[in-house]
Amino acid sequence: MNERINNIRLFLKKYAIPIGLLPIFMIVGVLFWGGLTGAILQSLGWFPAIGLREITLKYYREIFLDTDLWSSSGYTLYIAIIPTILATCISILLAIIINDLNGNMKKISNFIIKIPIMIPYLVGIYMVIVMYGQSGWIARIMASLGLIKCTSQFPEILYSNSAIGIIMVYLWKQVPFMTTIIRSNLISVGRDYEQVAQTLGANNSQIFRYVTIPLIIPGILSSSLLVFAFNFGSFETPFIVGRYYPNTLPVEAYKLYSNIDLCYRPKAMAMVILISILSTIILYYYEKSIEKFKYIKK
Amino acid sequence: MKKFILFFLICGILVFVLTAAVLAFDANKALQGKMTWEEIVAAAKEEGEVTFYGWGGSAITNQWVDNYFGKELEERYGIKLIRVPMNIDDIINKLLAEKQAGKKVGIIDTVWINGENFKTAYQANLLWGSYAKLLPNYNKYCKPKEANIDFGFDNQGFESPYSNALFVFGYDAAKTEPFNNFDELKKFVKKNSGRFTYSAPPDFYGSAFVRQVFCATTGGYEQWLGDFNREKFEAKVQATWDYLNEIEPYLWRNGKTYPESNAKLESLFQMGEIDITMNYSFLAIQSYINQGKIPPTCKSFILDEGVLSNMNYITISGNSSHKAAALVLANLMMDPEVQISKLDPKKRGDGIGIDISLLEPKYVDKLENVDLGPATLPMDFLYKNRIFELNAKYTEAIEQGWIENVLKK
Amino acid sequence: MDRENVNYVVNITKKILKKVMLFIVFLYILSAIIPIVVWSFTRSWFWPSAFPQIWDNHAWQYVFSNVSKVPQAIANTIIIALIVMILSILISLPSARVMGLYKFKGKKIVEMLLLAPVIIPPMAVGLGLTTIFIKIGLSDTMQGVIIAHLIPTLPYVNRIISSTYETFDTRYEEQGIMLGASSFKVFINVTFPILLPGLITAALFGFVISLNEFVMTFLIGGGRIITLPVLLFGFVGGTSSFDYPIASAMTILLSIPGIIFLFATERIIKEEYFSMGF
Repeated sequence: MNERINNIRLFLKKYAIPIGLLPIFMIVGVLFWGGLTGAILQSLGWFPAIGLREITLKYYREIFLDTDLWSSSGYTLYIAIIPTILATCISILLAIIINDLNGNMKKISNFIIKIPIMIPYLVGIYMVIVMYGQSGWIARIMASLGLIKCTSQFPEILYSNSAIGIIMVYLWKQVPFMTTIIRSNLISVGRDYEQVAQTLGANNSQIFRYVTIPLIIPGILSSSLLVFAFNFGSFETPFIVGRYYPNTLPVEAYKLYSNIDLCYRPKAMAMVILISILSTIILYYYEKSIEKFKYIKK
Repeated sequence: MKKFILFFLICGILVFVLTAAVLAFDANKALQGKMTWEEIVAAAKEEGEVTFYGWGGSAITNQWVDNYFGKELEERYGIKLIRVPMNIDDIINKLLAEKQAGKKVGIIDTVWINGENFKTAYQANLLWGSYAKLLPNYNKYCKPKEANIDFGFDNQGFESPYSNALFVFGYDAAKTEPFNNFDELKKFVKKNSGRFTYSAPPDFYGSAFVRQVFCATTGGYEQWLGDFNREKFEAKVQATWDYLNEIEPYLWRNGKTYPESNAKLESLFQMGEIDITMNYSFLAIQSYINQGKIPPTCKSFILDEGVLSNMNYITISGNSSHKAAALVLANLMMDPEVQISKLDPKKRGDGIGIDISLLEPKYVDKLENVDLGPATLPMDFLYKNRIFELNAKYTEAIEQGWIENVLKK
Repeated sequence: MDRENVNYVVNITKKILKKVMLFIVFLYILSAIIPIVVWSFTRSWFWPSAFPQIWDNHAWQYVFSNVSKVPQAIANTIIIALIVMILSILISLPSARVMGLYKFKGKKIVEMLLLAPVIIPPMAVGLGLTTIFIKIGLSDTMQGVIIAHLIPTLPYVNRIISSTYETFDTRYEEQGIMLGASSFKVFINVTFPILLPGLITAALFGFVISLNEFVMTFLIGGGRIITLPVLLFGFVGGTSSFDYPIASAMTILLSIPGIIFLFATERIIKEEYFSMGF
């Protein structure tokens, strides 16, 4: 009996790696990649339900020839990059500021800054609509004060080409997210090195510039990576407060998908695959470029 | 003694099984008209529940369906109504996906549907069959020649009437002076720049607006009744795009973006960003006033070119497992009491789907006593100015054309 | 002015600027609460008034009634989030251990594969997954939605726990075994307490991600499984009779589980834990 148990133990030890990875691969591997495979097949024209059995690249060709989809890609990239940059800058500043606070202010700040993280995007979207829409609360207050007379005099924040509404929603949600991560990096990662630097005689500002900042850069970069990835593929926000046409790639893909005419579905799948490939490429290069900063941590 | 008990037990089981078999709903038998209505009602009670899928974006509609209609269904027939809010596109996608996956028994029993969506579902064989004639209320209160024409398409009784829609416009009499026809609309938008818009086709309502523009700019709707005539369409439709492109810079947001649904358009109206609203229900304005969403000074108005009118229906899905209950639901929806309750803008504000001329005098009285409210135009006035929906192929062509010629500039 | 005074002024200005920035940020985060609360008690509020013309609580009555489906949605949302949280931790424990402790060929690729759900949009995965789920009968079911929620959750949970393992010294475990304890006891008394901060952070992420997840529930749940985000989308998403009072009441309700969870874990999770995995 004991020998049996020992054999099992040895087996587990030997194959610890694949066994350990098994559960998560079942979910991520099977479901996730399975789902993608289904999409890939449909995008290549394999759609037996409506009689398409020919593998073809014509849907991809259609997409490349569609100038509106190029515009949509540009729009998507724009609303992926700008809020990420803004959020990163603001979050770094905020993380430092909150870190330097004391006592109760610090506690309150900690709490408030985390609130948007716990609340769904839809709430953030709704908040921006209610507050900053042309008929939102701010506009109404201004109208009551006589500053504007009709709604069109208030800036076009929602549904606009400049996507300010979308950016505002993303900032509301992502600045807290990044600030929390950067701040916690500040606390945990820097401590030992900061102490060493102090004993070596560096003053506060030197410690900050030469020790703290390089140490938190990995955290900043990897969280900005996450934020960028999310913004690129996001659906709810552009769908509700984006401009009508052409909207972002995920929204346009969904519109095609939900078209009653099933003929559009392979094209929708092709769009979805292209979005996936695009985000993978962008993020691969992004990840590579921050590789060199990671060595500091390890 | 033991033998007796066993005997009774077996008899009891046999009786139970036989009763169940008798009451069990044989959908095919029913469809062929071989079951009586009483048998159908009894089978429905056995089934005990039915799902009703449809747009759930109006709280007052939801409340009427759940609190009034669901209650009636339960009290009169012992059937529980399960309302599932879902947009029609998603419903059809779901039925299609189930069909694709070969699902024999689905969870969608009844659907609130009409027009192109119905045609798609019908042609994809997602629906049960020609059941309308099985319903007593259909035979009593509907004229098949009129009730079965859904966007110029004969539905063969695959759907049964739910509501009648009469397309009207709305404005706030305290702030705005409306227009009487599409020519005056042109002047209106130029004078009130940024205060008018329409939802983007293929949204149902925006599509209806563009269809009316189409009829108006091509010289009337009568010429388009009947089958789809591509040559004639292509020859004349340019006037529509010219008109819409001409007014585009004067629309809300300079036409750079359109509201994607009528709900958004109505929200713009409610919130004071535009001055004109539109709706397929001629009672909508009054209903919104009752709900406090728009000021009491608001009123409905129609255009010289006519009132676009259509019907919307209930249909039963092919893979429903509660077909008897679905039949009872569809029948109850055509009950005059139910229709009159639905009409009242205080309860919901939705047009009558059955034929008023076939109602018994007591119902006609009840109908006349419903207060439609000061913002509503009288039904007979609207009926007199009715124009009918064109063949759904025109709708498709117009929607596609709008996207190509107006949206993409 | 001499040098000291200039420094002093600069410092004070810095301090004021910092406080102002903090104030603006908090204002931005919190200020929308006011009009939302006001809208939730509104019957009629027309332009250009700064406050409603008619107040009432019909929105709250609707939201708490069964017609609105809010009670079911709250129950569904929380149950799903809790199950997803627990499942994702259970699934991640073995894999996080592997990723955190071992070096092996192809580890980089495994890392990227496991991160894929973060990079590839849920809309992309969801659309492809829908057909598969229908075929295997998981669409419109709680189980299906729960499994679908695991997709966005697992990468985060796995990453956080694996970074905890990175700083874990297996010698503690070895000592426990040498002293005669069974593997199970070692796990409970040695490994688990050390992992705890990471586990709690991972649990928080798992719970919150599932709580706020919309796309997966929308596509897989198919309208039958109603969670708060899906319900709210129906009232804000543009195809509903834009009903500000009801949408406001729903929004407030939708925010409450998250905030309660925040309160509950405030004590337990120290600030530094949030950087785990990043």
